[in-house]
Amino acid sequence: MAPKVPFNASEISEKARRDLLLLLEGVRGKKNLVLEKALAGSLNLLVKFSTLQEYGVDKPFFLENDNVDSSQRNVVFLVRGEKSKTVLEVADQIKRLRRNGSVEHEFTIIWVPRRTMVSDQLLEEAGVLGEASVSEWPLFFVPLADDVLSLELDEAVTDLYLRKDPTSVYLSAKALMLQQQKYGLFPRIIGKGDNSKRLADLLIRMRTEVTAGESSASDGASFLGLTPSSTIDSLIIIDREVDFPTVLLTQLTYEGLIDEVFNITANQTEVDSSVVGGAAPQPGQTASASASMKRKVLIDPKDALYSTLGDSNFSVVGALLNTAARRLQSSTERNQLAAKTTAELRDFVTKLPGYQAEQASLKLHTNLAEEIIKHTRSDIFTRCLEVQQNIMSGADPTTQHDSITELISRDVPLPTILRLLCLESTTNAGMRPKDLETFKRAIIQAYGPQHLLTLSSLEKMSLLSSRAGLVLGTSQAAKPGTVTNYSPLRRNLKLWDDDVNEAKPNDISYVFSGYAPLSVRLVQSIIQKQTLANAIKPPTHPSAAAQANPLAQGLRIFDDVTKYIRGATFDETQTGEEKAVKARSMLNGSHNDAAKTVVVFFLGGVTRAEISALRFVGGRLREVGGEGRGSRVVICSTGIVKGAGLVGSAIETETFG
Amino acid sequence: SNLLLSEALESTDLALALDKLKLASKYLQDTKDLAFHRTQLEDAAKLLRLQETFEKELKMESGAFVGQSVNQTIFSLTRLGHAKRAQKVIAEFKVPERTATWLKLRALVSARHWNEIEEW
Repeated sequence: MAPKVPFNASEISEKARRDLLLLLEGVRGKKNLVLEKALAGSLNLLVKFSTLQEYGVDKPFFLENDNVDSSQRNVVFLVRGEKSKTVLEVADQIKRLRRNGSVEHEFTIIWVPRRTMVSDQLLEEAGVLGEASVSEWPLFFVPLADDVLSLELDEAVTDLYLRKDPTSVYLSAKALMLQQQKYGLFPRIIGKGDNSKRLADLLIRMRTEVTAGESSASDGASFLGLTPSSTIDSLIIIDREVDFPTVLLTQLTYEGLIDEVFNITANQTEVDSSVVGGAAPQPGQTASASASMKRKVLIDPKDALYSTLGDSNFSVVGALLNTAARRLQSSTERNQLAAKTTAELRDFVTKLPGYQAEQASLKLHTNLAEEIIKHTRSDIFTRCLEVQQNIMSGADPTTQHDSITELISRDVPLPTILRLLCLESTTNAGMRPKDLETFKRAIIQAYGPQHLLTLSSLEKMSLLSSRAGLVLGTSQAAKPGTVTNYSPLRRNLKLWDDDVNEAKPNDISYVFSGYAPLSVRLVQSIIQKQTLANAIKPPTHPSAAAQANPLAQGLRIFDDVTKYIRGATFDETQTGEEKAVKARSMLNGSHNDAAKTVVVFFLGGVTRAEISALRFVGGRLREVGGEGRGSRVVICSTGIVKGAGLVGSAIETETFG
Repeated sequence: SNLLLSEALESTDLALALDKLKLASKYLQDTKDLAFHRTQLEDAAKLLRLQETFEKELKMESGAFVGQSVNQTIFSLTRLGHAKRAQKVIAEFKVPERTATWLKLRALVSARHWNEIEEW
């Protein structure tokens, strides 16, 4: 039996697709589909619209637009049922349709990913529960790439840290549990952060629940599902709260910058069509008409060119594009064709479509890169970057205040300013009360009094705080585990790398041109101890490099370092019955250590730069003879985040007047 | 008081919004820690009143200034050539000099008052 690969992206999307189509099949005849906007992206990744049409979908509508018409008898709502607001919107629309429509409608509501008691209650109160048939589409992980699975919960950050709403923790646990039931328990769950702890506890409880349910039913067939997996190495859970600064920094990988400049949702980005060239622009059309048009561009992780570009530091993208262009040009050059034999020619012709696709993607990315360069060359961008780099390298943050004040007076978009301020606050365990007050006043004066609410939201998310304990001199000693103390971390984990090599990265610090994301360092301290130890404390003479660095033993770095980071630390092992373990390893063949999967779960979102960094780590692990023994790293998250989104969730949008 | 502030933000009527702000700042009167919060609320009310009078004085349709921040108000006032009024706002809210200079410069440039920049 071939070994099953856990966390298989295509398998997950295949299952989700089947489930949805089955649900749609359940509704007879043609139907109008009402979608929540947030779901559109994920749906697009999973199912083509033409497939939906084959299953009887006539017209899609957005729930937010409130414009469902009565053209079809059947109306299917496909919405997330976690928030009462969306539930009420659904109820309103059903009522509206019932009022105006001359046709008798059949309503179906498909909750994603589960039906909740609250939603039932709300529908009942609105008096529409009886009208609709309710079902659920258990969509949890949406694969964004082969090694990136996301729950696509856009509001997870706001929910977790601002409203302290644990829904996303529960959904994450559910999603991970489904994987556990299929591939076996995670032999080890290790992680950092209060919410991660909650997630781990939940996972362990769900496991006992499942076991209890099974023993009563005495269903012997599935007991294998709850023994430690032989294909998964461990689950590492990192709470976003542990490492806010990484999100706040401007990402410097190509993919990260596309996200920063143009936004990426569900592998799609919206770019001005003047940049990428509109879809077959008519010569008669005026340039200004198409200039304001937005065009959706698919950022495809399977694209060969993009997969190398996406994770590189932006400074080398230009060179990469250049070499790709040259290679293409030389292989398609005419005079070379003449010299070829017929066999070579046939070979060439079969490759031609591939070349064309590559050419198109090359053109797209060259244009995108040019647009980004325009952005990165701007004065404001450079200033922001300078402030960020100085703060991260451990310079005295007060020296940066002048720059920040100037940026405020120049009316730089608020999220940019907030990112800088929060960055300073989170890396230095708060700001001096006096400075904080000055900045608060400046922000309110520059951006309006409504941001009093923004600021207090940020404080609630502990992104912005004043350094209270400093006067007493007990700030750090007072409460271990409540704040992250960066100065020892910077030293112990080598978070700052002065001689970073962006072109040929030798360390993860390349993704931020110097700063190595704390979250990824933590993961490294668990799965890549040897390399990390050598990076932190280079061996004195080369012969010692072969021997084990004392730092690499056990979990020493992890233990050392977690003292300085806030939030709970945990390390659980899950074991099962001896017999079952044996049976499983027999079933899966004897590939003891090889090709195990390490699952890294980011609770509260992951940045694209971190994904790149983890891929880099994963690549190193795969190398033959490396300490990872060919492990595979899979990144799971509640969603993709970036700094603007993180502070943006706190920003108050209402204004006076 | 945050609740009241968001209510104030939602209300379309200016007088009502002012009342809500007053109430919000009253709630905070007794606590010492939130003194900063309170002054900011009072400043917000002051700003709104000031903006209202500007709109009346300059006979502009309502909504021209109301809803803007301090800096934006200074910016639009300078841009429209009401330097004195802008100066008043600067004094009223103790806007730092550097900020004020940046605002003035940007406003004059956007209004293309090159002469005034040269004279200044």
